[in-house]
Amino acid sequence: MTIKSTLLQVRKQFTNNWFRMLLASGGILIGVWAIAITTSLSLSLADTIITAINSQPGATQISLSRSSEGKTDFQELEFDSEFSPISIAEVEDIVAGSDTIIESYPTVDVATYITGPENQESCYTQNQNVITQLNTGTIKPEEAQKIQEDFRLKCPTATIDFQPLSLAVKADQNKWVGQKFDLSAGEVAVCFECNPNTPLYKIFAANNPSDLLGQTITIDFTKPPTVYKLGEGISNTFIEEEQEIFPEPNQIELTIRAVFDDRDQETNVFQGQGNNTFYGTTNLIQTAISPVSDLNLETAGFQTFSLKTDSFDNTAKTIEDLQDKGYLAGSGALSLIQAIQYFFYGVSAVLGLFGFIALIASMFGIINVMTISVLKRKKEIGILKALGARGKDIFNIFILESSLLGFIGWAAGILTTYICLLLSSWAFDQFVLSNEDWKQNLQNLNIGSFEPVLYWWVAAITLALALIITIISGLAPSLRAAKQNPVDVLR
Amino acid sequence: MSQPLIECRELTKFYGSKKQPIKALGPVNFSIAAGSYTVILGKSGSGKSTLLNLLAGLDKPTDGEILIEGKDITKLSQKRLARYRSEIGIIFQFYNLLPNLNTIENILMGGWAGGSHPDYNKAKELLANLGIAHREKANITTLSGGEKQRVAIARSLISDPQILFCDEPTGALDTKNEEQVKEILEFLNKQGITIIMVTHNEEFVNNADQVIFLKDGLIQPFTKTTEESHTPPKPPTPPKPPTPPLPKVPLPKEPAKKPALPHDAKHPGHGSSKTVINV
Ligand SMILES: Nc1ncnc2c1ncn2[C@@H]1O[C@H](COP(=O)(O)OP(=O)(O)O)[C@@H](O)[C@H]1O
Ligand SMILES: [Mg+2]
Repeated sequence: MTIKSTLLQVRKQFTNNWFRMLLASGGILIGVWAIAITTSLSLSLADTIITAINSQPGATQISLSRSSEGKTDFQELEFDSEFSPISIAEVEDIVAGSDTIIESYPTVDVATYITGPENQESCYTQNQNVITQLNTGTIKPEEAQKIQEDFRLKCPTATIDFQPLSLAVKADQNKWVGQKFDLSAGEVAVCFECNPNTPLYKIFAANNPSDLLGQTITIDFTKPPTVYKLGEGISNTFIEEEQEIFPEPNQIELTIRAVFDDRDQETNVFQGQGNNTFYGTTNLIQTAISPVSDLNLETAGFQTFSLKTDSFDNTAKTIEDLQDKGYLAGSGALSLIQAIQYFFYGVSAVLGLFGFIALIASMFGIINVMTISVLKRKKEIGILKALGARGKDIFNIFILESSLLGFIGWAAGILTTYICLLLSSWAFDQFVLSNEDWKQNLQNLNIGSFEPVLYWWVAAITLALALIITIISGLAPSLRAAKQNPVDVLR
Repeated sequence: MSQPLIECRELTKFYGSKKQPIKALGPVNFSIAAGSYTVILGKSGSGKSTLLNLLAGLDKPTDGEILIEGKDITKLSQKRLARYRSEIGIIFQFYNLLPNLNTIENILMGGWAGGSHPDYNKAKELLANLGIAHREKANITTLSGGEKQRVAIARSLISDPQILFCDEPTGALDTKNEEQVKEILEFLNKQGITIIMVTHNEEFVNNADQVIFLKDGLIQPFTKTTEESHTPPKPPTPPKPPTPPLPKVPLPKEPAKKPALPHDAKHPGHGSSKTVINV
């Protein structure tokens, strides 16, 4: 038969029996829809979350350590794994030899009291006094609590983070006041109102962020930062116990050179739960560890360094390079993303399986419809054969019909999916973003909308599945039609 | 003597299972000359349709040979058999038109089914000549019996067949339509088409060059039941080229053109190109 007349036959069959054909492709529709909607929704959700993670300033951060046992992956670590300290010089060499690492700084944890100009007396001393009075019974606990509440406003505690400022600067350029990167020893950057519990500006009686510039604060280091001797092993479990408290706090005066104005509380840069986070140079560390006589920056080692890559895309490759060199390297963002991906791939695989089962189930419907179609058109087949049509021609008509069923079901399934995705995007706007609190939180994560994507490969795979399934289903009825003996049906 | 167009040797057909075969035909032996008008006559159940279906390649015989221009069509592959079917014309008692298609599509399907691309204008011309031009786009189910049979005739003619097989083509028609279809077939025969007509109606015998009278599946000598019964049927004669008187129903000007297929088109030593059938 000619192609045109084959198509004509198929077309007439569909236009004359459209309702039955539509029902038959319904199973395919549901299967394709189930696969496409679950993969699209879960993968788009994963993508949205991953984009949110990527866009966070900390996403390009890599943790660098060295395991005494030569482990390179944080996941291989055990509870009591031992580390071997790394020196600043060694890491500087690594940075110099890498194209993708732009900054490095040791991770040092320091608890401090900050004394501002309002308090002539050291905050550390004041706190000690309150504790002594409470212990000797000079004041009642209620009084002590009141004093300490007032004291917390005037004397906040802080975590000093010896991070280069660019990390924070990247988050929101416009919010900075003062010089951003160029801090020398004795200078810090602070946040104007990052922590609502201990607002820094109150201890300066400052009204504007710029009022803080040039002010001097005193920081009391009460214990040495977590610095180790090179060549010694660091056992993960005993770090806290090894840290001794200084008999007298080590006081450092610092001048504020840069202020991050976060009065709108929208940028989540200065983390730290109860503390204010300060940003300073590594020279601060030297000052902080000076009471420990046998440690200086040349001989000091650190358990962990933070490295920053130039872009999130280069992070994984950089980690691999570091692991090849024998370091223990990893990225929180990357492992979080990996976990999210595994989770959502798993979810979409499980839900997609239901769709696949629906597709398989739809086979019976199609076999049914095609068999009925062959039986109903026995005579038509006989006529065509009597007119010179070959078995192959008849087979083509029926296999084309069943694959068309698959195609129609697929197209309807994809269309339904598309509509559902638009609806979910709309619902997100209507019901999630309409809540100001949620909207705020999501915007902090760079999520302004939810626009799920219908991935082209999902469409392609479901099309292939739908066609394969309908062709397989149509095979037996089509072959039966092709083998029909013309004389048997023309009587 | 030149080779006959159709020759059957020991042709036999059994229906039913191997254990309980029902004999429907044969063994029969006969031949049909190119351009002749042959009537296969017999009572209902005598095996006429069985024979016609075998000749038209719609069924396989249990035994025997069917030689079309010397080639045994019972031994053809499915593909070749389909081609044979596409090159002959066939008309059924109950028309066997495709209900999904309209009039003109049904006619064109006569060519399409065999894989050729018949001329649309030719189909329209056939419709016009058969007097049903106004039904060109009509839904086939709305046509009258006479109209349907004309569509079936047009369909069988669209691919210029050399042989036209007709199985009781007037069996379902009224007298007026029966008369017209008869005239059309006569005219086509005069144009050189070999006509093989199955009927239980003795009236057709008058036009026949040859009568094959079947009784219980076997060929019997034919004797007319009317007073003219002693006149024997005309012997097979070659086609008559002179223009016949035009019948009431206008007919295709050139109904019988040879479909010139590039290969296997002629058997060596065979005379008229008109009688070549590719199998
Ligand atoms: N498919 C079949 N199976 C069994 N018997 C059949 C079949 N077709 C025809 N017959 C029988 O074969 C005989 C000849 O039938 P047929 O050729 O149709 O006769 P006619 O066309 O002369 O009426 C009849 O007895 C009929 O019942
Ligand atoms: Mg019959």
